[in-house]
Amino acid sequence: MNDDQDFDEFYASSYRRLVGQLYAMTGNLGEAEDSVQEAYCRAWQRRHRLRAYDNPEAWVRTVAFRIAVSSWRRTRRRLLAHQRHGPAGEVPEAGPDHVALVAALRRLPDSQRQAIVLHHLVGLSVDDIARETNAPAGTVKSRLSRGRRALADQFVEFADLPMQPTGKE
Amino acid sequence: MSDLHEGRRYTPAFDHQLAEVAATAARTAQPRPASWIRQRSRRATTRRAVAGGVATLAVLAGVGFGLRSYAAGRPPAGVAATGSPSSSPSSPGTPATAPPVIPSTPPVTPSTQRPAPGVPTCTISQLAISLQDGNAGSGHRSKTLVFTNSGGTTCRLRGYPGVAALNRSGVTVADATRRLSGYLGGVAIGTSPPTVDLAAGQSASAVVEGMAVNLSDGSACTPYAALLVTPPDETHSVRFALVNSDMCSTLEIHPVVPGVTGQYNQYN
Repeated sequence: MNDDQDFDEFYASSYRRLVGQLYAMTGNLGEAEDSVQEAYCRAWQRRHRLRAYDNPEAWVRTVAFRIAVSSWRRTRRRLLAHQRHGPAGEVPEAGPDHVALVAALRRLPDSQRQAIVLHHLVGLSVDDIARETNAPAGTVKSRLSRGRRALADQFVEFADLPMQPTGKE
Repeated sequence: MSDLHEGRRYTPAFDHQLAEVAATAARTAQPRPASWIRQRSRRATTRRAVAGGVATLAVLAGVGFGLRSYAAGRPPAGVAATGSPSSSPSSPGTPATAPPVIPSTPPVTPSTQRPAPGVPTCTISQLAISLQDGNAGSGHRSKTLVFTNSGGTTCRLRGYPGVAALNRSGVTVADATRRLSGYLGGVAIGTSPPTVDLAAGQSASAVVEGMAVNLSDGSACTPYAALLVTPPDETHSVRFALVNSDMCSTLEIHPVVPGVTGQYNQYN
Protein backbone atom coordinates (compact mmCIF):
# COMPACT_ATOMS: atom_id res chain seq x y z
CA MET A 1 0.00 0.00 0.00
CA ASN A 2 1.19 3.44 -0.85
CA ASP A 3 0.51 5.91 1.96
CA ASP A 4 0.84 9.01 -0.18
CA GLN A 5 -1.50 7.76 -2.85
CA ASP A 6 -4.12 6.47 -0.43
CA PHE A 7 -4.13 9.71 1.48
CA ASP A 8 -4.26 11.82 -1.67
CA GLU A 9 -7.27 9.89 -2.92
CA PHE A 10 -8.99 10.21 0.40
CA TYR A 11 -8.25 13.92 0.50
CA ALA A 12 -9.30 14.56 -3.09
CA SER A 13 -12.54 12.67 -2.78
CA SER A 14 -13.68 14.08 0.55
CA TYR A 15 -12.23 17.56 0.95
CA ARG A 16 -14.94 19.57 -0.78
CA ARG A 17 -17.75 17.64 0.80
CA LEU A 18 -16.30 18.17 4.27
CA VAL A 19 -15.77 21.88 3.60
CA GLY A 20 -19.44 22.13 2.64
CA GLN A 21 -20.45 20.41 5.88
CA LEU A 22 -18.12 22.49 8.02
CA TYR A 23 -19.30 25.63 6.29
CA ALA A 24 -22.85 24.72 7.28
CA MET A 25 -21.62 24.21 10.84
CA THR A 26 -19.59 27.41 11.06
CA GLY A 27 -21.07 29.82 8.53
CA ASN A 28 -17.60 30.92 7.49
CA LEU A 29 -15.91 29.46 4.45
CA GLY A 30 -12.40 30.52 5.47
CA GLU A 31 -12.78 28.89 8.86
CA ALA A 32 -14.34 25.82 7.29
CA GLU A 33 -11.43 25.39 4.91
CA ASP A 34 -8.81 26.08 7.56
CA SER A 35 -10.27 23.67 10.04
CA VAL A 36 -10.82 20.92 7.48
CA GLN A 37 -7.28 21.39 6.22
CA GLU A 38 -5.92 21.21 9.73
CA ALA A 39 -7.94 18.07 10.39
CA TYR A 40 -6.46 16.42 7.29
CA CYS A 41 -3.00 17.28 8.56
CA ARG A 42 -3.80 15.45 11.76
CA ALA A 43 -5.28 12.59 9.76
CA TRP A 44 -2.04 12.28 7.82
CA GLN A 45 -0.04 12.20 11.03
CA ARG A 46 -2.07 9.30 12.35
CA ARG A 47 -2.80 7.69 9.00
CA HIS A 48 -1.90 4.20 10.15
CA ARG A 49 -4.38 4.28 13.00
CA LEU A 50 -6.97 6.01 10.86
CA ARG A 51 -6.88 3.26 8.29
CA ALA A 52 -8.32 0.88 10.85
CA TYR A 53 -11.40 3.06 11.30
CA ASP A 54 -14.51 2.27 9.34
CA ASN A 55 -15.13 5.88 8.53
CA PRO A 56 -12.06 8.09 8.42
CA GLU A 57 -14.12 10.84 6.85
CA ALA A 58 -16.26 11.07 9.99
CA TRP A 59 -13.07 11.29 12.01
CA VAL A 60 -11.83 14.22 9.94
CA ARG A 61 -15.24 15.90 10.18
CA THR A 62 -15.34 15.61 13.95
CA VAL A 63 -11.79 16.85 14.39
CA ALA A 64 -12.44 19.71 11.99
CA PHE A 65 -15.52 20.77 13.92
CA ARG A 66 -13.64 20.76 17.20
CA ILE A 67 -10.86 22.78 15.64
CA ALA A 68 -13.36 25.23 14.20
CA VAL A 69 -15.23 25.67 17.45
CA SER A 70 -12.17 25.95 19.63
CA SER A 71 -10.43 28.25 17.19
CA TRP A 72 -13.55 30.30 17.00
CA ARG A 73 -13.51 30.87 20.69
CA ARG A 74 -9.78 31.22 21.13
CA THR A 75 -8.13 32.82 18.20
CA ARG A 76 -10.69 33.86 15.71
CA ARG A 77 -8.37 36.54 14.51
CA ARG A 78 -5.63 34.13 13.64
CA LEU A 79 -7.96 32.24 11.36
CA LEU A 80 -9.30 35.37 9.78
CA ALA A 81 -5.75 36.45 9.04
CA HIS A 82 -5.22 33.75 6.48
CA GLN A 83 -8.65 32.96 5.29
CA ARG A 84 -9.01 33.03 1.55
CA HIS A 85 -12.52 34.23 1.01
CA GLY A 86 -12.78 37.87 1.97
CA PRO A 87 -13.13 39.46 5.37
CA ALA A 88 -16.40 37.79 6.35
CA GLY A 89 -15.61 34.33 5.02
CA GLU A 90 -18.58 34.54 2.74
CA VAL A 91 -19.31 32.41 -0.26
CA PRO A 92 -19.10 34.75 -3.25
CA GLU A 93 -22.06 33.34 -5.17
CA ALA A 94 -24.37 33.05 -2.18
CA GLY A 95 -27.96 34.05 -2.99
CA PRO A 96 -30.43 35.56 -0.52
CA ASP A 97 -31.80 32.16 0.57
CA HIS A 98 -28.28 30.97 1.20
CA VAL A 99 -27.39 34.01 3.28
CA ALA A 100 -30.61 33.79 5.28
CA LEU A 101 -30.12 30.10 6.04
CA VAL A 102 -26.51 30.57 7.11
CA ALA A 103 -27.50 33.50 9.30
CA ALA A 104 -30.27 31.46 10.93
CA LEU A 105 -27.89 28.59 11.61
CA ARG A 106 -25.30 30.90 13.09
CA ARG A 107 -27.80 32.05 15.67
CA LEU A 108 -27.94 28.51 17.06
CA PRO A 109 -25.50 27.32 19.73
CA ASP A 110 -22.62 25.27 18.32
CA SER A 111 -23.92 21.95 19.58
CA GLN A 112 -27.39 22.46 18.08
CA ARG A 113 -25.98 23.60 14.78
CA GLN A 114 -23.67 20.61 14.64
CA ALA A 115 -26.54 18.22 15.33
CA ILE A 116 -28.80 19.88 12.77
CA VAL A 117 -26.14 19.70 10.06
CA LEU A 118 -25.19 16.11 10.86
CA HIS A 119 -28.81 15.05 10.65
CA HIS A 120 -30.20 17.17 7.85
CA LEU A 121 -27.14 17.48 5.61
CA VAL A 122 -24.90 14.52 6.35
CA GLY A 123 -27.90 12.26 6.92
CA LEU A 124 -26.84 10.67 10.21
CA SER A 125 -29.33 9.09 12.58
CA VAL A 126 -29.68 10.25 16.16
CA ASP A 127 -27.57 7.32 17.32
CA ASP A 128 -24.88 8.09 14.77
CA ILE A 129 -24.80 11.70 15.90
CA ALA A 130 -24.60 10.60 19.49
CA ARG A 131 -21.55 8.52 18.66
CA GLU A 132 -19.92 11.18 16.54
CA THR A 133 -20.44 13.93 19.10
CA ASN A 134 -19.87 11.76 22.17
CA ALA A 135 -23.22 12.82 23.62
CA PRO A 136 -26.19 10.78 24.89
CA ALA A 137 -28.94 10.15 22.33
CA GLY A 138 -31.42 12.08 24.48
CA THR A 139 -29.17 15.11 24.37
CA VAL A 140 -28.91 14.84 20.61
CA LYS A 141 -32.69 14.67 20.28
CA SER A 142 -33.04 17.71 22.45
CA ARG A 143 -30.46 19.64 20.42
CA LEU A 144 -32.20 18.71 17.17
CA SER A 145 -35.57 19.67 18.57
CA ARG A 146 -34.46 23.04 19.90
CA GLY A 147 -32.52 23.78 16.76
CA ARG A 148 -35.51 23.02 14.56
CA ARG A 149 -37.80 25.13 16.67
CA ALA A 150 -35.40 28.03 16.41
CA LEU A 151 -35.50 27.60 12.62
CA ALA A 152 -39.28 27.31 12.47
CA ASP A 153 -39.78 30.98 11.60
CA GLN A 154 -38.01 30.42 8.32
CA PHE A 155 -38.93 26.82 7.62
CA VAL A 156 -42.58 26.02 8.05
CA GLU A 157 -41.89 22.31 8.03
CA PHE A 158 -40.46 22.78 11.55
CA ALA A 159 -43.35 24.90 12.79
CA ASP A 160 -45.64 22.09 13.94
CA LEU A 161 -43.12 20.04 15.83
CA PRO A 162 -44.29 18.70 19.17
CA MET A 163 -42.74 20.42 22.14
CA GLN A 164 -40.06 18.58 24.02
CA PRO A 165 -40.67 18.23 27.74
CA THR A 166 -37.20 19.68 28.22
CA GLY A 167 -38.00 22.71 26.06
CA LYS A 168 -38.04 26.27 27.25
CA GLU A 169 -41.80 26.66 27.02
CA MET B 1 -40.90 3.80 5.14
CA SER B 2 -44.23 4.90 3.82
CA ASP B 3 -42.81 7.58 1.58
CA LEU B 4 -40.71 4.99 -0.19
CA HIS B 5 -43.79 3.55 -1.77
CA GLU B 6 -45.30 6.64 -3.23
CA GLY B 7 -42.83 6.78 -6.07
CA ARG B 8 -41.83 10.35 -5.35
CA ARG B 9 -40.87 12.37 -2.38
CA TYR B 10 -40.67 16.06 -1.86
CA THR B 11 -37.43 16.98 -0.21
CA PRO B 12 -38.20 19.27 2.69
CA ALA B 13 -37.26 22.86 1.98
CA PHE B 14 -34.75 23.02 4.79
CA ASP B 15 -32.82 19.90 3.78
CA HIS B 16 -32.82 21.05 0.20
CA GLN B 17 -31.57 24.54 0.96
CA LEU B 18 -28.99 23.25 3.39
CA ALA B 19 -27.68 20.86 0.77
CA GLU B 20 -27.38 23.69 -1.71
CA VAL B 21 -25.64 25.94 0.78
CA ALA B 22 -23.10 23.22 1.46
CA ALA B 23 -22.70 22.43 -2.22
CA THR B 24 -22.06 26.06 -3.06
CA ALA B 25 -19.41 26.28 -0.36
CA ALA B 26 -17.91 22.99 -1.46
CA ARG B 27 -17.69 24.18 -5.03
CA THR B 28 -16.12 27.47 -3.97
CA ALA B 29 -13.54 25.76 -1.78
CA GLN B 30 -9.94 26.06 -2.86
CA PRO B 31 -8.22 22.86 -1.81
CA ARG B 32 -4.49 22.99 -1.50
CA PRO B 33 -2.59 20.12 -3.09
CA ALA B 34 -2.59 16.98 -0.98
CA SER B 35 1.20 17.11 -0.99
CA TRP B 36 0.97 20.46 0.78
CA ILE B 37 -1.11 18.89 3.53
CA ARG B 38 1.39 16.10 3.92
CA GLN B 39 4.34 18.50 4.01
CA ARG B 40 2.64 20.77 6.49
CA SER B 41 1.82 17.84 8.76
CA ARG B 42 5.50 17.03 9.03
CA ARG B 43 6.46 20.59 9.88
CA ALA B 44 3.66 21.02 12.38
CA THR B 45 4.25 17.83 14.30
CA THR B 46 6.63 19.25 16.86
CA ARG B 47 4.57 22.27 17.66
CA ARG B 48 1.40 20.29 17.97
CA ALA B 49 2.99 17.63 20.10
CA VAL B 50 3.39 20.29 22.76
CA ALA B 51 0.39 22.50 22.23
CA GLY B 52 -2.24 20.10 21.04
CA GLY B 53 -1.33 16.77 22.53
CA VAL B 54 -3.94 16.80 25.23
CA ALA B 55 -6.65 18.11 22.95
CA THR B 56 -5.86 15.55 20.26
CA LEU B 57 -6.03 12.73 22.74
CA ALA B 58 -9.39 13.98 23.88
CA VAL B 59 -10.61 14.10 20.32
CA LEU B 60 -9.45 10.58 19.66
CA ALA B 61 -11.08 9.29 22.77
CA GLY B 62 -14.32 10.88 21.71
CA VAL B 63 -14.24 9.84 18.11
CA GLY B 64 -12.59 6.48 18.20
CA PHE B 65 -15.60 4.84 19.75
CA GLY B 66 -17.99 6.25 17.26
CA LEU B 67 -16.87 5.02 13.90
CA ARG B 68 -18.19 1.52 13.70
CA SER B 69 -21.78 1.57 12.80
CA TYR B 70 -22.60 4.09 10.13
CA ALA B 71 -24.07 1.45 7.90
CA ALA B 72 -27.26 1.43 9.93
CA GLY B 73 -27.88 5.15 9.53
CA ARG B 74 -30.19 6.96 7.21
CA PRO B 75 -28.97 7.11 3.65
CA PRO B 76 -26.79 10.17 3.80
CA ALA B 77 -28.14 13.26 2.17
CA GLY B 78 -24.69 14.68 1.68
CA VAL B 79 -23.48 16.54 -1.31
CA ALA B 80 -22.29 14.39 -4.17
CA ALA B 81 -21.28 11.73 -1.76
CA THR B 82 -18.61 9.18 -2.43
CA GLY B 83 -17.82 5.92 -0.79
CA SER B 84 -15.05 5.35 1.67
CA PRO B 85 -12.15 6.51 -0.41
CA SER B 86 -9.58 4.13 0.96
CA SER B 87 -11.49 1.05 -0.02
CA SER B 88 -13.43 2.00 -3.10
CA PRO B 89 -11.96 1.71 -6.55
CA SER B 90 -11.70 5.37 -7.26
CA SER B 91 -9.66 7.56 -9.46
CA PRO B 92 -8.03 10.39 -7.58
CA GLY B 93 -8.29 14.04 -8.11
CA THR B 94 -11.88 14.62 -9.05
CA PRO B 95 -13.49 17.30 -6.92
CA ALA B 96 -16.44 15.81 -5.19
CA THR B 97 -18.99 18.39 -6.16
CA ALA B 98 -17.96 19.98 -9.42
CA PRO B 99 -20.66 19.05 -11.89
CA PRO B 100 -19.10 18.08 -15.17
CA VAL B 101 -20.09 20.69 -17.69
CA ILE B 102 -20.31 18.98 -21.01
CA PRO B 103 -20.97 21.43 -23.78
CA SER B 104 -24.04 20.40 -25.65
CA THR B 105 -26.23 21.98 -28.21
CA PRO B 106 -29.65 22.24 -26.65
CA PRO B 107 -32.17 21.53 -29.37
CA VAL B 108 -34.84 23.25 -27.31
CA THR B 109 -34.55 26.75 -26.00
CA PRO B 110 -35.65 26.67 -22.39
CA SER B 111 -37.56 29.71 -21.31
CA THR B 112 -36.15 29.88 -17.83
CA GLN B 113 -37.17 33.44 -17.13
CA ARG B 114 -40.68 33.96 -18.44
CA PRO B 115 -42.22 30.74 -19.58
CA ALA B 116 -44.99 31.33 -22.04
CA PRO B 117 -48.33 30.84 -20.33
CA GLY B 118 -50.80 28.25 -21.36
CA VAL B 119 -48.45 25.44 -22.32
CA PRO B 120 -49.81 22.29 -20.70
CA THR B 121 -47.65 19.96 -18.69
CA CYS B 122 -46.62 16.84 -20.55
CA THR B 123 -48.62 13.85 -19.47
CA ILE B 124 -47.20 10.37 -19.54
CA SER B 125 -49.39 9.49 -22.51
CA GLN B 126 -47.71 12.23 -24.55
CA LEU B 127 -44.21 11.10 -23.68
CA ALA B 128 -41.95 8.41 -25.01
CA ILE B 129 -39.59 7.73 -22.12
CA SER B 130 -36.31 5.88 -22.41
CA LEU B 131 -33.42 5.13 -20.12
CA GLN B 132 -29.98 5.60 -21.66
CA ASP B 133 -26.56 4.63 -20.40
CA GLY B 134 -24.80 7.42 -18.64
CA ASN B 135 -21.38 7.90 -17.17
CA ALA B 136 -19.26 6.37 -14.44
CA GLY B 137 -16.44 7.60 -12.29
CA SER B 138 -15.04 7.20 -8.78
CA GLY B 139 -17.76 4.81 -7.76
CA HIS B 140 -20.50 7.02 -9.18
CA ARG B 141 -22.85 5.78 -11.88
CA SER B 142 -25.46 7.52 -13.93
CA LYS B 143 -28.25 6.85 -16.37
CA THR B 144 -30.03 9.39 -18.49
CA LEU B 145 -33.80 9.54 -18.68
CA VAL B 146 -34.98 10.89 -22.01
CA PHE B 147 -38.48 12.27 -22.39
CA THR B 148 -39.60 12.74 -25.98
CA ASN B 149 -42.83 14.49 -26.87
CA SER B 150 -44.61 11.87 -28.91
CA GLY B 151 -47.89 13.78 -28.99
CA GLY B 152 -48.95 16.31 -31.56
CA THR B 153 -48.84 19.44 -29.45
CA THR B 154 -46.28 21.33 -27.43
CA CYS B 155 -46.09 20.43 -23.77
CA ARG B 156 -43.95 21.47 -20.85
CA LEU B 157 -41.66 19.74 -18.40
CA ARG B 158 -40.06 21.35 -15.41
CA GLY B 159 -38.42 20.04 -12.27
CA TYR B 160 -37.63 16.59 -11.05
CA PRO B 161 -38.99 13.27 -12.24
CA GLY B 162 -39.86 10.86 -9.46
CA VAL B 163 -37.44 7.95 -9.41
CA ALA B 164 -37.56 4.89 -7.19
CA ALA B 165 -35.25 1.88 -7.30
CA LEU B 166 -36.67 -1.62 -7.09
CA ASN B 167 -35.04 -4.89 -6.19
CA ARG B 168 -35.51 -8.13 -8.11
CA SER B 169 -38.76 -8.78 -6.32
CA GLY B 170 -40.12 -5.43 -7.43
CA VAL B 171 -39.96 -3.98 -3.94
CA THR B 172 -38.94 -0.35 -3.63
CA VAL B 173 -35.52 -0.21 -1.99
CA ALA B 174 -34.61 3.44 -2.57
CA ASP B 175 -36.27 6.69 -3.45
CA ALA B 176 -34.15 9.16 -5.37
CA THR B 177 -33.22 12.33 -3.54
CA ARG B 178 -33.82 15.46 -5.56
CA ARG B 179 -30.57 17.28 -6.14
CA LEU B 180 -30.07 20.36 -8.23
CA SER B 181 -26.55 19.22 -8.92
CA GLY B 182 -24.59 16.08 -8.36
CA TYR B 183 -21.44 14.29 -9.35
CA LEU B 184 -22.45 13.34 -12.85
CA GLY B 185 -25.22 15.74 -13.76
CA GLY B 186 -27.59 18.46 -12.80
CA VAL B 187 -27.75 22.20 -13.26
CA ALA B 188 -25.58 24.80 -11.58
CA ILE B 189 -26.12 25.41 -7.89
CA GLY B 190 -27.90 28.69 -7.35
CA THR B 191 -29.96 28.37 -10.50
CA SER B 192 -33.42 26.92 -10.90
CA PRO B 193 -34.50 23.91 -12.87
CA PRO B 194 -35.21 25.15 -16.39
CA THR B 195 -38.67 25.14 -17.89
CA VAL B 196 -38.52 23.00 -21.00
CA ASP B 197 -41.22 23.39 -23.62
CA LEU B 198 -41.21 20.44 -25.98
CA ALA B 199 -42.66 20.77 -29.46
CA ALA B 200 -43.74 17.52 -31.04
CA GLY B 201 -40.72 15.28 -31.48
CA GLN B 202 -38.41 17.23 -29.19
CA SER B 203 -36.71 15.73 -26.18
CA ALA B 204 -35.70 16.63 -22.67
CA SER B 205 -33.67 14.58 -20.26
CA ALA B 206 -32.67 14.14 -16.65
CA VAL B 207 -29.72 12.40 -15.04
CA VAL B 208 -30.26 9.67 -12.46
CA GLU B 209 -27.18 8.97 -10.46
CA GLY B 210 -26.09 6.68 -7.70
CA MET B 211 -23.11 4.78 -6.49
CA ALA B 212 -21.75 1.32 -7.07
CA VAL B 213 -20.72 0.86 -3.44
CA ASN B 214 -22.18 1.47 -0.04
CA LEU B 215 -21.63 5.06 0.89
CA SER B 216 -20.92 4.22 4.51
CA ASP B 217 -17.96 1.93 4.09
CA GLY B 218 -17.25 1.47 0.40
CA SER B 219 -18.38 -2.14 0.47
CA ALA B 220 -20.27 -3.87 -2.31
CA CYS B 221 -24.05 -3.66 -2.39
CA THR B 222 -26.83 -5.37 -4.31
CA PRO B 223 -27.47 -3.60 -7.61
CA TYR B 224 -30.86 -2.06 -8.22
CA ALA B 225 -32.88 -4.28 -10.53
CA ALA B 226 -35.20 -1.63 -11.96
CA LEU B 227 -36.14 2.01 -11.82
CA LEU B 228 -39.67 3.29 -11.50
CA VAL B 229 -39.92 6.65 -13.21
CA THR B 230 -42.63 9.27 -12.88
CA PRO B 231 -42.42 12.36 -15.11
CA PRO B 232 -42.56 15.74 -13.33
CA ASP B 233 -46.06 16.66 -12.19
CA GLU B 234 -47.37 13.25 -13.15
CA THR B 235 -48.71 10.43 -11.04
CA HIS B 236 -48.26 7.58 -13.49
CA SER B 237 -45.02 5.69 -13.72
CA VAL B 238 -43.06 3.59 -16.13
CA ARG B 239 -40.63 0.89 -15.16
CA PHE B 240 -37.19 0.23 -16.58
CA ALA B 241 -35.18 -2.89 -15.92
CA LEU B 242 -31.54 -2.18 -15.20
CA VAL B 243 -29.24 -4.46 -17.13
CA ASN B 244 -25.50 -4.57 -16.55
CA SER B 245 -25.81 -1.87 -13.93
CA ASP B 246 -24.01 -1.93 -10.61
CA MET B 247 -25.70 1.18 -9.25
CA CYS B 248 -26.76 0.21 -5.76
CA SER B 249 -26.84 3.14 -3.33
CA THR B 250 -27.25 6.90 -2.88
CA LEU B 251 -29.85 7.33 -5.59
CA GLU B 252 -30.31 10.90 -6.82
CA ILE B 253 -32.32 12.57 -9.54
CA HIS B 254 -31.42 15.86 -11.21
CA PRO B 255 -33.80 18.27 -12.93
CA VAL B 256 -35.13 17.88 -16.44
CA VAL B 257 -33.02 19.84 -18.93
CA PRO B 258 -33.32 20.41 -22.68
CA GLY B 259 -31.84 17.88 -25.05
CA VAL B 260 -31.05 14.21 -24.75
CA THR B 261 -27.76 14.27 -22.85
CA GLY B 262 -29.04 15.19 -19.41
CA GLN B 263 -26.31 17.82 -19.32
CA TYR B 264 -27.10 21.48 -19.26
CA ASN B 265 -24.72 24.35 -19.60
CA GLN B 266 -26.79 27.42 -18.96
CA TYR B 267 -23.81 29.63 -19.74
CA ASN B 268 -23.98 28.68 -23.41
